[in-house]
Amino acid sequence: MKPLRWTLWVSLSAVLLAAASYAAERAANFRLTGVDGKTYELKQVASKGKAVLLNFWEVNCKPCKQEMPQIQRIYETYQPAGLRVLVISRDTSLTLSRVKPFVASQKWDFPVLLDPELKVSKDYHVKFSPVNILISAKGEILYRHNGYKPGNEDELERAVVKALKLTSDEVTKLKVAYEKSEPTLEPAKAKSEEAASADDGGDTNDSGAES
Amino acid sequence: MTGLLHHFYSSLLKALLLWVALAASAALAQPALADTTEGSEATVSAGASQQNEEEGDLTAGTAESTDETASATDSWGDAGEGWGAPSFDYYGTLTTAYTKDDSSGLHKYEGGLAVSYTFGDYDGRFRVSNLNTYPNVKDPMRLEKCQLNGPLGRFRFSAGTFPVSTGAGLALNAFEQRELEFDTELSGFKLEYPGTDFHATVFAGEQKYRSDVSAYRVQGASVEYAVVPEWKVGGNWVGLSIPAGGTGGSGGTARTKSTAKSLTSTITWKHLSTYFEYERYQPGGGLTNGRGIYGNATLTLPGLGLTYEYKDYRGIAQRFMAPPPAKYHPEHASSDPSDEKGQGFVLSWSPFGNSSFIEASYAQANIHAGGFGYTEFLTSYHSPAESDFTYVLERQYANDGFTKDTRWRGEFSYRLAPDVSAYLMTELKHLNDFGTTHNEQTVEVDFSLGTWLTLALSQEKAPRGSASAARRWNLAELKLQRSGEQELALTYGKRRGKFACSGGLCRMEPDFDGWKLVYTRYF
Repeated sequence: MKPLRWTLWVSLSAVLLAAASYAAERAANFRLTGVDGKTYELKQVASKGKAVLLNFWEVNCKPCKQEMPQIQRIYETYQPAGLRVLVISRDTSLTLSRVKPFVASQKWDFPVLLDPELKVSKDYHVKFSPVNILISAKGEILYRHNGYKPGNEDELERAVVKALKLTSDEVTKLKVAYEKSEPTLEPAKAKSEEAASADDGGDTNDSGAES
Repeated sequence: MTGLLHHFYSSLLKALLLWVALAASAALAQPALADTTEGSEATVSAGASQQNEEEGDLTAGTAESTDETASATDSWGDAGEGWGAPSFDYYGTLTTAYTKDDSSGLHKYEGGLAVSYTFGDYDGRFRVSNLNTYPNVKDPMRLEKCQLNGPLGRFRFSAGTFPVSTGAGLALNAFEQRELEFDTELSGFKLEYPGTDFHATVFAGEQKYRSDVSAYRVQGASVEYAVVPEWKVGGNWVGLSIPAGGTGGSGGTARTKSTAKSLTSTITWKHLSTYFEYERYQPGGGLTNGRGIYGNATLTLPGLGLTYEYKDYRGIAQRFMAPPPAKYHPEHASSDPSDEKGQGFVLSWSPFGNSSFIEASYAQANIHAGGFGYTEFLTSYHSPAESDFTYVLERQYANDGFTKDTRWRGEFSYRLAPDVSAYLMTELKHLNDFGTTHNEQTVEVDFSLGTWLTLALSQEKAPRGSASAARRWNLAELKLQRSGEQELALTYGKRRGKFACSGGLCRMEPDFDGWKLVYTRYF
C-alpha cells in the first residue's frame, strides 16, 4: 500500500506544481494593529508606494535582530522611491510584553505590527522568523526569503530595485542621498504615521509615536 | 493500515474538491474583476499624487511610474472596505520531506499542502499534511486545518479551525505553534464585533489532539471597552466541558464542567503603559478553585524600553491556557500555572546613537510554599550593524536551586565580499550540579552565498560522565533557495536532544541521528 500512497502523493504534487507554474502568486490583504496603537492595512499601505516589504520577526529571534539594521538601511534608501516596509511581530501573548520596549530601543522608521494569533503568518505560510516577502503594488508576491545570514540583504536590495523599476542612475542618486542624510528619530515618527490607515483615529495614542 | 488509508484518501479527496472549487471560483471571478477597476480610480490617484510630493527630485521617473501604480493598485482584487467586486487570490506551499532517523528508528516520507485564499471580503486557509517537526513522530495524512472568515452584517465570523485568546492568555490561549507542535486551536465558530471603542468576541468549538478519542468542548465570550482613549477594561468568560474518562477513552456522556473568568485593564499614557489581569478558575469536580494574576508596566523613551512583569499563578492549569512565562532564558522560558509566582525586568537600550544596543533581563520565580527558587540574569551586547564585521556578546546565568548554568556566547559575522559571508558562533556552557562542575562547548560555522546557498556546520561537545550518552554531535545543514519559488534543505548528522523554547512555550526536542531532505515549493 505504501508505494500506492507515495505514488498518489507524488502525482498530486506534480499536478499542483504544474498548476502553480501558471498561477500568479498573490498576496493576502490584512489589517493589523501596530505597537503604536494604530491600524494598518496592507492594501492601503501598498497604495501609497510601489512595493511593500513584509518582514516577519520575533523579539527573541537573533538573526532578526542582526538583519533589522539592514532592513532599516534599505528602507531609508528606497523609501523616497516608493518602498514601504511593514514589520510583523509573530510574538504571541506569551512574549508580547517584550515587543514594545524592544522596538522603543531601536531606531526603526517603519511600523511594527502585532500578529499575536499568527493569522497573517499563516496566510503567508511563515513558520519561523525572519522571513522577508516583497509585494508589488498590484499585490503580487515578487520575492520571498526565509532566514537571514549576513549578505542576504544584497539580494533583497536587488529585488527592491527591480520592484521599484529603478535605473542605475536613480539607484545611485538614492544611495548618495541616503549617505548624505543623518537619520534621526524625529523624521521617523512622521514617516511611520504617514503609513497608517485613516480610519483608526480613536485607537491612536501619544506613546505610540516613540516606536 | 485500513484506517491510515481511509484518513489519507478522505483528506486527499477533501483537498482536491476544495482545490477544484477554488479554481472554479477563480475562473468565475475574472470577468467581475475587469468590471470593477474603474470604480476605484479616484482613491488610487489620490494616493499617487501624494507619492509624487514625497519623491522630490526623482520626478521624471515618478511621473511614469505613478500611472503604473494607479493601474496596478486597481487590480489588487481583494475587497477590503467595499473596494469593488470580489476577485479570487490564493497563495500556498507544497512540501515534501524524507527523514531517516537512527535515534528513533523511523524512516518516513511526509508531505503537506497549505493554501490561503481570499475571495472578496472572505478569506480562509486549509492545510492537508502529515508533516511533523520531530523525527520520532509519524502521523497519517489528514486535513489539519480548514478555515473560512468573512463579514456577517456588522460582525466578522470565523468558521472551521481558528485561534482564539483572551487577555494575556490566563483564561484562554488556544493557538497553534507548529515549530513546537503545540496546537490547541478550536474547531467551531467565532463571531467578532470589531469596533474601535468596543470589541466583543463569542465563540464555541471542540478540540482534541490527534490521539484523542473524546474532544474537549470550549465556549466563551470576551469584551473590551475603552472608558477613555487611555484606559480600556475587559472581561472574559470561558466554559470548558471535559470528558469524564479523559480524552483517551470514550468517556461516555459524563463530563466535568469548568469555568475561567478574568478581568483586564490596559492603560496607555504618554511614555507609560500598563496591563493587569486577574483570573478566577473553577475546575469543577470537587477540585480547589485557582486564581491567576499577571501585570506589566512598560516605559518607552527614545532609544530605551523598560518592562517590569509580575506573575502569580495558582491552580489555573488547564489545556487552553498559556500565560506569560515567569522566565526569559531560552531553555527555561516556561511557567507552571499550577503553582508559581515570579517577577522580572527586561531592558533594551541603544545608548550610543548607532544601531548597537544592549539587552538585559532579570527574573526570579518560586513556588508559593517557598523552595529553592529560580534566578536568572541575561545580558547581551549587539555591535553596530554598519560594519562588515559584526558581533554579539552574551552572558546567561540561570540557577534553579539544583544547577547553576552559566554561558558565554559569541557570534561573529564577516562579509567577505558582496553576497559572500561567513558566520562563527561559539558557546561555552559551565554547569555546576551541587558542586560537581563540567563544561560543554558548541561551535557553529556558516557560509552563505547570496540567498541561494547556505552551508552550516556545527559541533557540540559534552565531557564523559555528563548526562548524555554521546559526547560529540556533528551536524551539517545545506540549504538551497530560489527566492520566492522553491527551497531544498538537507540535514545530515547528529543533533543533541534538548529542551527547546519558542515564544514562551517549551517542548523536549529528541535526539536526531541520520538525514533529512525537505523540498518546499511556494506558489
